[in-house]
Amino acid sequence: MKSTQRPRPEPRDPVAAYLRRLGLTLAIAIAMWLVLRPVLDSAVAGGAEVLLRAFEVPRVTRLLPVDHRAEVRRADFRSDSALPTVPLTEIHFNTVVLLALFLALPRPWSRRQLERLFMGATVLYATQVLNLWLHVKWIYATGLGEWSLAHASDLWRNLIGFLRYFFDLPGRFSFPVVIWLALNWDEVMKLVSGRAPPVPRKRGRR
Amino acid sequence: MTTRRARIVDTIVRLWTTRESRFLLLFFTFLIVGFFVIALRPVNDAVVVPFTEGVATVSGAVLRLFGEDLTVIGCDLRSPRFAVTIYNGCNGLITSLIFVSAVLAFPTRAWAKVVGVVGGLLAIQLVNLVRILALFYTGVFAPEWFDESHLVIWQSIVILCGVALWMLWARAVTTVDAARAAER
Repeated sequence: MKSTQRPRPEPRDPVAAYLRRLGLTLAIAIAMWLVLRPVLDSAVAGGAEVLLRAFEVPRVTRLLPVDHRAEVRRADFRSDSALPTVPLTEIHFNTVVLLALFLALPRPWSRRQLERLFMGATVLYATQVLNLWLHVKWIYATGLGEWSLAHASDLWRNLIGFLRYFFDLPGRFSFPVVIWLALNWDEVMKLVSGRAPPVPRKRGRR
Repeated sequence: MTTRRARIVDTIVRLWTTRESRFLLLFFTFLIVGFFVIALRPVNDAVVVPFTEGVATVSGAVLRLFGEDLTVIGCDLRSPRFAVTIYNGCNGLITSLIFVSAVLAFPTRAWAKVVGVVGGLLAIQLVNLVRILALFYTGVFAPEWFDESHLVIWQSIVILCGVALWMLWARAVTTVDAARAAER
């Protein structure tokens, strides 16, 4: 079959074209995140639970995703004690930013870009798991009254507090941007230097 | 032992001489140092809290221009229709910090960085003002959507605006640099 497709002309300003696409991909990313939200809730809670229990003796912590919050259950809690919870939406909403930034790049569905997106999403997931782990450690270090005072030193409380605060504010906001930039430096530099990436030729055409 | 040390030094030199890794190293250094400074209690009390109150005052003044019967108390915006509190993460300071770190880490001349930082900070505050107004009216007209709008939509928009501003600035800077290089 003979293709009649003409090579696409290069946009005058690739950054402006990228930013126009970014508006659209933000809406797509929000829709994708809404669909994936229950999966992300379980995956982040599950990952953080594995991380917590890996260094716990005895292994008592369970994280249960309930209504987009992670319920912190410990086997040694009294059955009538209130369960601390951590909001999961705040922890994994930055998936929206990562998806929007990746999908707005030229040829987002090419194999190379999908591989990069997969790698980026995996790294971002690791930061989300670490963020939830820090939240639970923060609860253990400061929120359980005398038990916290007996089991966490001032240094540990300050360290966990700073790390949790860092992950909650600049970390959560900057990780998707840094991951996108690190994995797509060549593409982004082509955009900002005004050279749009070349349109790939179709396979099988000579 | 010496070979191992030489290999580590070689890796660090290679990281520093590669453009993207140097950018990322500098970016994270500026981000962590900047955040550490603003997280210190004296800085928080002397700078961040008054700044957030200033954001609340400006937002309140704009909302009054729109006819809202609004009272600003510290970081709280209170009206008979809705009330919001502007917290540390909602004052645009973190997005500004990320933007400034990205501008400072980008390899270009100092004056271009100064222009980028000043222009970017003003633009981010403008976007943040729009966000506060939009969230206030979301709270008035569709309070059931307030949390999702605040956490997901507007946080994402503000971050993406920071990225967009950085890209526009980097584009302008590289264009000027290329024109200068062509003149020589």
